[in-house]
Amino acid sequence: MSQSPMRRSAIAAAAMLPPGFLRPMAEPGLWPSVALALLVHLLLALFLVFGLRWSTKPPDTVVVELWGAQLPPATVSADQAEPAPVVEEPPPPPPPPAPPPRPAPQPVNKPVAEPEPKPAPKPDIALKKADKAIDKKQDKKADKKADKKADKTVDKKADRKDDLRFDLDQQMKEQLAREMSAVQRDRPRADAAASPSPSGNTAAPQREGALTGNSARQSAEYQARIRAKIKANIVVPPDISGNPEAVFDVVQLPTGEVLGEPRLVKSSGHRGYDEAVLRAILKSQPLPRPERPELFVRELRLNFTPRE
Amino acid sequence: MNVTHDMSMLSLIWNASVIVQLVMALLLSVSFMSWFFIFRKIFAIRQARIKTEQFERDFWSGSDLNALYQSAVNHRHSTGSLERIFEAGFREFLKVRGQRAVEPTAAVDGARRAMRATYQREMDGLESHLAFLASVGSVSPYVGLLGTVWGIMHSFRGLANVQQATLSAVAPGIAEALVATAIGLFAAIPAVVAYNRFAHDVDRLSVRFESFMEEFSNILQRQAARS
Repeated sequence: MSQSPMRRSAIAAAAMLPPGFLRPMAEPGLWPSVALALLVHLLLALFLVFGLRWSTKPPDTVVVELWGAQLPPATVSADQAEPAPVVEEPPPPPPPPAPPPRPAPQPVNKPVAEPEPKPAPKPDIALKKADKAIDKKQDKKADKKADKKADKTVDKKADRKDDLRFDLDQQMKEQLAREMSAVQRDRPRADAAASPSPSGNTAAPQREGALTGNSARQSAEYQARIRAKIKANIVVPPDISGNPEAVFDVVQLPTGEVLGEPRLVKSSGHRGYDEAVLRAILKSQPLPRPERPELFVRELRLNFTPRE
Repeated sequence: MNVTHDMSMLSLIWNASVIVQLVMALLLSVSFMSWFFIFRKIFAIRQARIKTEQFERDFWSGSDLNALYQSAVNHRHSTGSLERIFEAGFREFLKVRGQRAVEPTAAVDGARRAMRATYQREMDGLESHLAFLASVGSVSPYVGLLGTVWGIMHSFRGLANVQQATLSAVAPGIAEALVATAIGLFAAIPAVVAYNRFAHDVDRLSVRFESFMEEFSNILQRQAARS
């Protein structure tokens, strides 16, 4: 009985407690947290949208035709070098429109050249003039040809974007202008030297020929490597007579994998040898790959003889 | 044949099927919530630690218990967890000791019980939302995977109508679907890391609180015996 007022006072004391007493303090940083979380996601979104550019668009291919009057094999090797349209080439400067490195006689230059005292005798000058006339004709022809060809090349890429075409065109023109000015600059010197020799005339084509010859050589070497690898795997049957030739068509993937079964084009006449070659081709996978990816050839025709 | 797809992130999300988009939206909101809680917890735990250290310094520097109690009562809105534990215990101690009839150990026991109750409440506050982070960390990869599986099923069904099955027919669909997994992982990884970090921090704080409670009980015991 005597304790009841005391208990009541205790209850009262508990009731008197301030409201915040039993509650843990509210966590700090509500709005900063919202802002920071937003910031994190914004950063992520920015990174994903601008940082990652997933594009399956292949880089624009630029097909270069190597052409020159004296070099029909050049185009052949260029074709060989490009089995697929997806082969990407570094956009090369457009092919020089084959201006002859020899002086291109321009009417503008004549006054420049004329003031120079020319000790050469008349016949020489006449000869030179004749030479020049021929040069001029050739030059004009070459130039026209170059322009036409360039136009054709550009037109061929009908699917190409307009701006690219414009770009190419522009580039070609610039290149042409540069070459012309270079030729003009060189001319007085060349005149002074006065040696419009035929050897100099062929120098450029020779260089070009060396270039294409190089890729042709590499292509040949690539095929030779494939043949060598297969050859090493051929187990020649002992009972074979003579040196019959077996020819196979092989379709390969860029990885060097042989696609499907190699097709026998021409049998050697000896069944065992044909099969040995077939097994060797399959065993030689992956076939050697070319040094430069442009040289890859999808379909190969390979011939093998038991004795070489 | 050159199939060109614009595979920027936005178009991937935009072209995804409805289910995948729903999954991505869910995961994005979950990710936002988890980051929000991560930052809140960072602030809260850092503040709790600072306040705890401050009070421990005050307490062990030998100041008077009554003065400490008064300051805790007066600055009730800016006290830390440890200070509130101390306040609850000392309040109970004073109250029980005021009653002449009870023996001194009862006052210490009461103080200890009061401190235990406050301690539980404080721990509850510190651990709040940690469970959310844990579930985000464990569940959102599965949700993302669900979206991905659904998207891949979708794109393979489209493949059935095509004469020639090429990779480019299914690749965009799969890429879209994989975005869902990416978002799920983006939500899950920080949540798991933060959960582990916060659980560790809260554990350390709780150890400090408990040892303080034991030490303070000893002090109260000595005081009760003296009076």
